[in-house]
Amino acid sequence: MTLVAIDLGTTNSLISVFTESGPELIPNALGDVLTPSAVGLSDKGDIIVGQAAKNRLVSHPKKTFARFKRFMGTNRDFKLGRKTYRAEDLSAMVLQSLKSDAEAYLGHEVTRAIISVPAYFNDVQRKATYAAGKIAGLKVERLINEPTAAALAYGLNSEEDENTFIVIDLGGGTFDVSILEIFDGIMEVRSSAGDAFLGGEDFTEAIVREFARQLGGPVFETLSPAALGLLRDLADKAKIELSQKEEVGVKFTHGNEQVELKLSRQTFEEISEPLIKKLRMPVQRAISDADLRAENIDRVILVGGATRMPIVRAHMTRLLKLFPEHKIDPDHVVALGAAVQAGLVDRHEALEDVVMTDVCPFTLGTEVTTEIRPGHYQSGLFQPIIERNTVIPVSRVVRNSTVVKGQTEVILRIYQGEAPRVKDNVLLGEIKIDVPKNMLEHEEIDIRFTYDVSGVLEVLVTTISTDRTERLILEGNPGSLSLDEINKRFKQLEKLKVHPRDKAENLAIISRLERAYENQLGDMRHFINQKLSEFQLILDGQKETDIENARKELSEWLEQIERTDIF
Amino acid sequence: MASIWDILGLDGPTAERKDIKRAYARKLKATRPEDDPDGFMALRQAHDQALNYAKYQAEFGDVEVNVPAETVADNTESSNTSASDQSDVEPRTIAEPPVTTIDIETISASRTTKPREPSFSETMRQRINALLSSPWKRVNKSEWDQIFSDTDLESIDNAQDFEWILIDSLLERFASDDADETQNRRNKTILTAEIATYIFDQMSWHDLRDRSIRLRHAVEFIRENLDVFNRDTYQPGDYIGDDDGDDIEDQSWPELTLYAGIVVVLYLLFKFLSAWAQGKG
Repeated sequence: MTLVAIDLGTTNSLISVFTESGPELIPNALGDVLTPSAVGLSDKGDIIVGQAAKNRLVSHPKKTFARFKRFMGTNRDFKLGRKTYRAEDLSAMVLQSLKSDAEAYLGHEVTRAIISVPAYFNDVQRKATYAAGKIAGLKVERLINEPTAAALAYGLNSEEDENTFIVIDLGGGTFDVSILEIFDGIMEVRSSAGDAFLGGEDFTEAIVREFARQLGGPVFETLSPAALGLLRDLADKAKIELSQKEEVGVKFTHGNEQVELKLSRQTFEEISEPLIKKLRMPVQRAISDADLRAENIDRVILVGGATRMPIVRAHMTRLLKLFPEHKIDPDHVVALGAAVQAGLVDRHEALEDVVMTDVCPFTLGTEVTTEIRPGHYQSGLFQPIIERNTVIPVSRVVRNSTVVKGQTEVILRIYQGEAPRVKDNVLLGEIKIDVPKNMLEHEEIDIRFTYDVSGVLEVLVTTISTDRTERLILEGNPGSLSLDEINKRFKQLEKLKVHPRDKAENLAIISRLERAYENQLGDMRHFINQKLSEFQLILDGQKETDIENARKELSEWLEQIERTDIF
Repeated sequence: MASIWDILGLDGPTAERKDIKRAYARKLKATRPEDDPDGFMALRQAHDQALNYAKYQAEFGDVEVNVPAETVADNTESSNTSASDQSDVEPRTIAEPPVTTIDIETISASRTTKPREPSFSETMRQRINALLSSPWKRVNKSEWDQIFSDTDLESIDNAQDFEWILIDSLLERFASDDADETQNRRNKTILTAEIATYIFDQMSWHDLRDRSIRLRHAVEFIRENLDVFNRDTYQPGDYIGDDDGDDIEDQSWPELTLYAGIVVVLYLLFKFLSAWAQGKG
């Protein structure tokens, strides 16, 4: 059974597979390899995923969601029609859509997958990604860190034998930096750092705020959700255009008015300065954690659509004094590399001589109390057990004792983070251990942390005097789903009606017409409405060739209209 | 119990980093982390220990024997020592590294596009020392501003060197006079609280969570010797570097008052006694 690889992104998702001729991207029903990570409800009440849903963010903002990857592992609710969903459910819908694309392409069922996650995703977010896979009916064999995947894609074409890479991965919503060393067919991740809440979407957000300033007045309170959706859509397009031009203009329609908004590259640089500043620290930390200086790095690899922005490229060149590479399309590279990982897991012959090792990007440990002076205790201290950037898999054990003699239970809290006080770190779970009542001595326990290749933690606690071992299943976090809940959600999702895959192209055209309608006035709106009804008539006629021709014609016509939005 | 060299498949101890890495790579292909986690963990541990041995040999071993293995120490220690190393060298001779220490790694390091005239570290050290030596300039925010806005600081290597140069220069100031009890108070007057806080802001020294232990200690020491505003410039709830000790103090404030009380009583007693002694004398 084929093992597929999935890049589940904040903005776009991709699915790929490792074949005889190397990693290959699988196109969706529209023939694109990028499927927007957007989910919505159609007027008939079925689930729409991808480009059509992205278009409908403008025309039907209340029934469509995007950028939910940022809420993985949180209790945030997304209301779609009468039902509420979690980010895991919405992600599962995207995964399901990718799965059916792969099945159509490969001609057989797909049940096993590797999913890529930002290196800086914490344990809760990783578990949420597993859950999303399960809800979508996929067996998630492995999670792979996105920058590591990217390096795998580049590493295979590496001419030199020994190389130190830095991978800068600025995606839609997350920022990852990894340092890798390649020698003798071994790919070793030396360190990873990042920011789980920094990405291209934040730059778009900055442009939206700039446009709002140009519009004047309390824009965010007065504009309709549809108009705000349109403004965001235009801001995104302006951001992309600005990579080629010095200045862009945008035509924005709200109410019965058309306004021209302008954005120069210089203004963009000013408004995005705080974001650019945030790129520095993770790069610096990854380098010093790898015991290197920037001058020891041979290659800089840019990954993620947001690294197309000239300001990001220029900033990285200044930081590292080395020109970055982007030979492989930054939107494709993670999916391609994840496919290589799938090939590795499935023991593909072509990859016999390649081994990859990764690290755990966070410090993992427990809360401890220490006696600072006789009779004076301080609690809430963090005791690291696995230090950040340790090569995985790894297993470490520490011995702790009870605070007071005669104590009968120990509450062990597991944390992830770098702060010396647990209150500043992320709580992953807790376990209560009963220890025998011993009035003479402190009871001792061994805490063993095992971190596997997918970045998932297992905790074993052994009471020394009784030799009893307990395993901690990390469920204590309020954001995590239990196994029962995952199964329930899987059944719910199975029952949902998903918009038929073979109709996706038609829906994409309709939603694109509806989106275009939002940014037009008067006669043009009537004209678009007319086109919509005409297309509906052709669809009702059910003649495949007619439909195809109509789609082609409309697509060309829409391109002309859309060109006037951004200039 | 197999020795680390057995696990790596080597005949015996070696301080050659390259040999260790190659042996590890060869073994790793038969001990993949996903198939044999325990075997891998043992191999990895052997690899780490062997590299530590090589590093130790390079640093403290017989110099003649271990010259080729020097590369390890060069790389890993450079961040810590470069600042002070370079200060010993004449600015213009730095363009040519001494021939004896050239190896592959230093050659590849020198491919950088960075100009090699008076080195960045050297000029920075001079500028900071000049600034700290002048009682007027060092409390002038715009003087500091000029340093912080230097475009050379954009490079990560330069910024890292700069951070240690600044730390070293400040530490040197604190130790410049004979240490006595009033030294601490005198240090606090080197820079005004406003300037000290400004430096901490610019260097992002308020949040040291992600920094190395060495840097944390150095900056903590500087903070103790300078007046740095924390609470005023940062929102409550923000992480503040000196947080570590706070709760101890919070928890035991009654004792602190008690200690303060004892000190006051002793002081009064001493005053009284000396007055009494004088009266007698």
